[in-house]
Amino acid sequence: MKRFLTAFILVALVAAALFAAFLLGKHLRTGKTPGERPGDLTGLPQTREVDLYFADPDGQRLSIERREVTGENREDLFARVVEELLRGPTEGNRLRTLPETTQARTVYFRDGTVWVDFDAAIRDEHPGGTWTEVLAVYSIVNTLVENFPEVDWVQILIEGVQSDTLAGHVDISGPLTSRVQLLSGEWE
Amino acid sequence: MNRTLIRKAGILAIIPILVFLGAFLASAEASGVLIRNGNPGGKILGSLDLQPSGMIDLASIMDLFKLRASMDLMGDRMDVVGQSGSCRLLAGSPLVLSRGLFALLSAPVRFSGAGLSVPLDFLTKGLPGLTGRFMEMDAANSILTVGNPGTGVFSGEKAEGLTRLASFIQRDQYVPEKILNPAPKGLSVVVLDPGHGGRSIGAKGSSGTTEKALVLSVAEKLRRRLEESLGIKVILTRTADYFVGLKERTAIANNNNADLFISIHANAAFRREVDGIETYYLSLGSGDARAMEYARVENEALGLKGGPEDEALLEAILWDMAQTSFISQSRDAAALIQESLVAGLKGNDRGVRQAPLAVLMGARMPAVLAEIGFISNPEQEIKLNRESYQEEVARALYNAIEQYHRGLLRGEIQGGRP
Ligand SMILES: [Zn+2]
Repeated sequence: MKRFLTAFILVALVAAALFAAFLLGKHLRTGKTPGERPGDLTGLPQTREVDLYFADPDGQRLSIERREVTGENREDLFARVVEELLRGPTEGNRLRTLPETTQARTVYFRDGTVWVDFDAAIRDEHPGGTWTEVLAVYSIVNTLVENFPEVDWVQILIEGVQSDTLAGHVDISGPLTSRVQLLSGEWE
Repeated sequence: MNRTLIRKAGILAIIPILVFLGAFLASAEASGVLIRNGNPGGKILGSLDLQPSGMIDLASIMDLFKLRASMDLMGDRMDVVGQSGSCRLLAGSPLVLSRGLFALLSAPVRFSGAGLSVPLDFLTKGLPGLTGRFMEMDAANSILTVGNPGTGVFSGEKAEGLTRLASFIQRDQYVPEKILNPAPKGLSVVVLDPGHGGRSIGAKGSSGTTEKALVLSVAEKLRRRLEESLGIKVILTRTADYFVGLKERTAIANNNNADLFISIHANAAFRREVDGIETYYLSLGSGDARAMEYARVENEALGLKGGPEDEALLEAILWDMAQTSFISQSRDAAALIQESLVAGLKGNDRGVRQAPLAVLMGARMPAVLAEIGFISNPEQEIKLNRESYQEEVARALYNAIEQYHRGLLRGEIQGGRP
């Protein structure tokens, strides 16, 4: 009986040790505490360092400004990031890419695509010009795609509907993905 | 007695038929296709003229086989209906689409002032499904034999093949317009596109200059120069202050078989000091969205079911890719225009650039967009407002177009359209 008990305790101890080792190993592999999945911020207020894509002083290329952004959850974080883009740059004589009066009405995330719905000011108050429009569109797209690995595509809407162009030149009819070459002023 | 009379009458009656047949055969040999009934006796149904390019006017086929057709507003696709079925043709594309099936013609369907023309193999690939009659082509003698009713079906491939086909086209192995490319020929039709118009104002200067008014004025001055000095046909996509859609602008150029499409715009930036000149041509891989939509269909192995959505998707892909075959000519034209504008206006050279520009996507000819100067820059705005400066802009654009024209004639630049 005693021997049986000792064997049982031994087996239980070994099992517990193995389980602990498994958990520890998993933790070491992901470098994250259990329960947190990469990029999943749902329900957790999060503060993130984000690269915001604005324009250089000559309006030739995109130029990055790093800023801390806090959101209530993932979609809210995306919305706050778009708000920061609309707020504009603060240093380095960078130029804003979107009209000051623009507001994002809704930001929605599903299946790797962020849908950003702007009010009409993004079109009506945009100064115009082909490259200025390229920089406007891809400041939004690059910022969301480059900062968040879970975002592959950005669909821009104006007043809730898909539009052929932002202000008459650049195609925004479908979801777009980032163009990092715009940092050196080139499309590709 | 009676019998010989009948025989004699029969022989006499056959003579004109033979003469008639002989004449038809002779004319068929010259430049046409003889259409013969497959029944014993082989009644001649008529003949079709073959154009020097090897194409046949679709209207003549429709007359002969009693087909009806409807063309869409943009004038770039046509639904042809016969007794047994219908098919859709897309101008500039070699596809015949018919209820979930497609056939690939030897050359793209072409739009000309008179209507659509189709390559010879449309007779065997498209007609059977429309008429319900089997068609056999004797290519050596240019005789098409027509089977009995109920013997013909549309012999296309399953529409799942559209997926493979579209990726095939996308890889640029298929270059439709080059198939019929003839000897060097200069510009005959140029379409000028004054940007914006109507509710689309475009950029605005601080003293009130609008892009839509400025670019229309420049386009009109350029038109005059081109007509007077180069003697070519010039068409403006708008001639006053009204709204024209972006696809409509390209459709105007496509329907007029333009050799060159130039969209004229004035620039703006968020900072007043920014100034200079830029010229654009379309970036490849534009229509990111379509490419993705397409990849989604392919990756998820949903397969195309050949429904109207698939045809619509394919059409969208073809529309987006229309410009792909002309990218190198468009780059040449953009370089000439940029160089000439910078030199002629002593402007700041902001370079030739590629961008996903909606107005260039559907163009089936070399197509560029010129940003002639920044009206958001107050000094530039004053200049651009001057008639004399607008004449200088028009002259610089004219010089570039003339150089492009000469380049085409000398064969240094490969021609766009056949
Ligand atoms: Zn414009």
